[in-house]
Amino acid sequence: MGRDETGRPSGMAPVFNIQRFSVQDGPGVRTTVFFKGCPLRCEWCSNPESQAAFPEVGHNDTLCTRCGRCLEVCEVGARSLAPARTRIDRDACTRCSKCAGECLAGALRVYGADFSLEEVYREVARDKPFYRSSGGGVTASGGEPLLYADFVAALFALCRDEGIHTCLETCGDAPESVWKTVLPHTDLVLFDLKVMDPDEHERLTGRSNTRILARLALVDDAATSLIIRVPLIPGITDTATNLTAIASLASSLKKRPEIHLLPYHPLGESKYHMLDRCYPLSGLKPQSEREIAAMKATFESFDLECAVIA
Amino acid sequence: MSLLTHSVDLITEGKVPEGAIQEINEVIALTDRVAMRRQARFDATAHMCAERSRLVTGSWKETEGQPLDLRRAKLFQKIMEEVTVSIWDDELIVGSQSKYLRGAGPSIDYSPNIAAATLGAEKVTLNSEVGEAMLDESERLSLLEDVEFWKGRAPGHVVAEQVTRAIPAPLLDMNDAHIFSLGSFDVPMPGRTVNHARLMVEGIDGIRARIGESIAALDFSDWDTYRRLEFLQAARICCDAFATYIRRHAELAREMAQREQDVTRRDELERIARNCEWISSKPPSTFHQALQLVWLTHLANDLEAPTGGAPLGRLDQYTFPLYQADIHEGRITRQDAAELLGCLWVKLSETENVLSVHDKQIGSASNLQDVTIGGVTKNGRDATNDLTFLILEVTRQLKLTQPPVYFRYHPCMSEEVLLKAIETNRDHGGGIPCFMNDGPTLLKLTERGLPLADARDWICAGCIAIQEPSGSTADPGFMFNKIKAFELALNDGVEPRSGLRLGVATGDPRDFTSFEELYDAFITQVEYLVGVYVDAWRLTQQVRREVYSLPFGSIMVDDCIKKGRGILQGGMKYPWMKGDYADVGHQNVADGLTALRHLVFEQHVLSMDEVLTALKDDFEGHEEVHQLLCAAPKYGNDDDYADEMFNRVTNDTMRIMAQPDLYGKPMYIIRGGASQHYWAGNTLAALPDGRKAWEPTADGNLSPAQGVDTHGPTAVLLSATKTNHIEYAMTTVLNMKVMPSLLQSRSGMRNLLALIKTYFERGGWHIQFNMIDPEVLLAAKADPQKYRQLVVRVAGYSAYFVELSPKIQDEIIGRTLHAC
Repeated sequence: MGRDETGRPSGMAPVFNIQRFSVQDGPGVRTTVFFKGCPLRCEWCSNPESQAAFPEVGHNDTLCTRCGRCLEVCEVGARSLAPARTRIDRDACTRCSKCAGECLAGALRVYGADFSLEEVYREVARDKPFYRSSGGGVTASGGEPLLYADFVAALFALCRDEGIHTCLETCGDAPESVWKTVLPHTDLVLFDLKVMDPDEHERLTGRSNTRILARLALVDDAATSLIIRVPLIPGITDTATNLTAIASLASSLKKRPEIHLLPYHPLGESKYHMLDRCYPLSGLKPQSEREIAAMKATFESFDLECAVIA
Repeated sequence: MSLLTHSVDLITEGKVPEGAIQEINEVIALTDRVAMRRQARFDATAHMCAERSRLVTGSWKETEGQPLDLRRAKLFQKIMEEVTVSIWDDELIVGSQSKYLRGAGPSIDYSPNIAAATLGAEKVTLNSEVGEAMLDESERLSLLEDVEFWKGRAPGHVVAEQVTRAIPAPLLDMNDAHIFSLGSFDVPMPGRTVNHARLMVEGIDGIRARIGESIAALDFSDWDTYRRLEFLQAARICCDAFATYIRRHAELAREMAQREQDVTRRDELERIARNCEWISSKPPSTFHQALQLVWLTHLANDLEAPTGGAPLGRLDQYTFPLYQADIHEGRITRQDAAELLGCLWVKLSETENVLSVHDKQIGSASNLQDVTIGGVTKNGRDATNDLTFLILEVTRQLKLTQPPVYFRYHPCMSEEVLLKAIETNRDHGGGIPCFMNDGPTLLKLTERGLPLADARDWICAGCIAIQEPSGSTADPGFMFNKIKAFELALNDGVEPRSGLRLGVATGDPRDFTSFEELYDAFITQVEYLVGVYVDAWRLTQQVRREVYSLPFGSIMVDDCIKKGRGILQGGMKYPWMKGDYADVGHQNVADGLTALRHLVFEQHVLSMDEVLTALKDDFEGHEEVHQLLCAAPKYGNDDDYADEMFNRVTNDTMRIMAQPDLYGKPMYIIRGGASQHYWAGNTLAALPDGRKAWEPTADGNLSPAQGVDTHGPTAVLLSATKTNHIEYAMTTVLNMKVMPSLLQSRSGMRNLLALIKTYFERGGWHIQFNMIDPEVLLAAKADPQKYRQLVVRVAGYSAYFVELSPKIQDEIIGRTLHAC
């Protein structure tokens, strides 16, 4: 079998979840395909398992029965089972995933596996009857689906042939050629805008937003619907200055896109523990409904349609 | 009243005029009066009441030696003439089940067993499983005396004795093992339907006239004429007695009006008196009178034989002409109508029911006074009207568990009414309304032999038993727990709990070399148990018709007067529309068989001995076996391997169950008692699907077992519609949970609507959604006082969450929260 530039069998892509009945990633009832791997490292990321492109084992200590089967198969001794908290030494771990295969309690779970186009499509096509009755379809999310542009473009083309609406949820950070591969097959782009100040953006996500903003302009010129999604991270992205800057940019676009605000929630925190990582935003408090209403008003003052996706 | 001129346009037959919906959305159903009555219901203590038992026992002594129908009629007459009638502060719809605001007496004159068990128990229990009821000492003594009188005399005792004596199988052991529930021996026919539509048109005078005509037409040329005469004479007594009961409310209202100082209230009491006087003979002439008559008929029906669970039928259809006239003539506004409906809703939530031991086992806590709305008219057009919307809005605002509202869906409905139903479902929180599909129901009813026009009038009774409201009534038969057949097949016919051989010797499964041998053993057990069941149930009906009669209930259903025969004596227009089985358990059987097929016979990961040993030890020390069984494919995940087995088990077992009933029709298989999965579970040892011993089984009959559906609601719906349930079942039940946060926006509600529509397009029959935040439930569990009004839905019916046992609360909290 051939290999692509990432060393993966061609025609395959790493996916860590295919979630049916997704109702907040585009219109109607949808199936969201979460691709694994992301160019950004946002410190508020609620899907930390989405960042690395390789498979990772997460451990859920609540389900762990401390039976020790995982210890027996680990050839490098990376796994440890303290009564209070279990660990996988990520430096020692060779990512063989044998431990997860031995776990009967379901405490160890491998995030990410290579999927063929056919496998992903088969899963997506299952809920076709619900897409039809709800105006829903497929959403490619992640991670960053544009890392697998050929795969996504082929998936979307297949879906469209079958009358399934296609939606791309993206951070935008990809070369123009990549965008041009996917856009012709995309009905709707959910474009994330996080921080407008380029230096701040680099500090918080690891990369500048220059390329991202250029791609936003590209989408604005394409024959594709556009919604801008803003994660509201308290004190980080939800400042008046930042939101006003996003609103100002959005209102300058030809499409005058609808804005979706995504209030902060701490549901990702447990996943950091499962991956033996520290949650950078520990203790951060979600905004009040009043605060969120005020943020929404900021966008509406620019005459933009704005919805809170909670 | 002049305010009305701008909006007398009504929604009729699906046509929605400008402004009507907006006006309905703005009504205040929870007026000060309704809020006060609603609070009074929550503040009132439930009482077990001895008055009815005293009256019926007295009457039975007075009529010794007289014919059965006559004795039963005089017993009913005694209740109607002497039971305490009450009117409470500010009520507009009057009449109470007992002298207490919340109180009920047992059906001691059918069987004293329930009363005896309740009196012998530490706590007196009414509707709520853990809620305590009061019983005054003097009433306790009176009830004890009445229990003694009825022992041996009660028809239920005669039925039990005759049936258990005639059937060679160990019926009582099977009952104890929860293979069957012989609860029907203790309760008279529950869920008795009333033809309210006819009563609206002809009134009590009309019924009396028909009885007279029937008597005049008798000719004494055949042996049965005298029995008909006897029945019709009894019917006439009941008719007059019911009129007396209504008039007693008029008299009381008039007396109270004379003493009333407050002018407004005096006017109201006088109106109540006029209303009751009028409907004691004539058909109702206003919407207010219509609701008053519906309510008093409902009470009289219950007082004749208290069991709980009589349906109210298509309230939005049969009261609509009077509502329409009132609105057009400017007699009432939509706001007035909302308050009247609110008053009726509160009255319905005051009713109680003395529970049987069996009810307690299944954690039953609902009176199942089903209201059915929507659907199509008799000529097949969209039946949605103004009242459909108004009933939904009143239900939404009052958030009561009674009445359960059943919303009939069909493809020509407007999106407005569907979204209104979803909004009600979301805000009510407790699975009300639930959604029923006209499509399969009409197909099944016409296949069974109902004329299409009557089929289109179908209603729900009890826990989703489908009825025709003019001429049929529910009769739930026994419950049949097919998981016990599976358990017997795994143990060579011996019940592990008792060590008794309650099934057939089908061999030690350790010796089975193929999956089909195991499957055959299961089917053999089902065939044997069904054989016992149908004999017992057929005989029960035959004995019952000789020793019991319900003359009042009979005159409320077609064609008892025409035929001169009661409902239990085959007088109904459609006597085969009843309910012969309450069916439990194909989910656990199918998942268990799938696990064994996969792990033992195909993958050879486990041996049969390993599994059986693990089951015997309830998985203690066999954690790996347990985890493998739990991880095996399960129904509800859109996985053909598991879903095919579910379909196979469902259809093979129901084919065996569909034996001819006494009218030559295939037995009517419903999914009975709403929380029968507790009953089914608490005698069952561990099962191969990974369920541990004595835990509840899966609920409904299409809901996946608790926690096994890991692929979300669309996968559940696809799995459910792979099953060919329509061939033998008369209903299905699929319960789901959805976070209310998903339904805050109109687009969110549309997504739920898409689920319903797609499910129903694919042949789905019933679906209901619980909308509960787990945090709220946990808080309610910790501090029940603060959450007394929190409604939650357990399978086909509603209950107040804080009135449920901690075990049931835990299950509700733990069940998969879809899209959470």
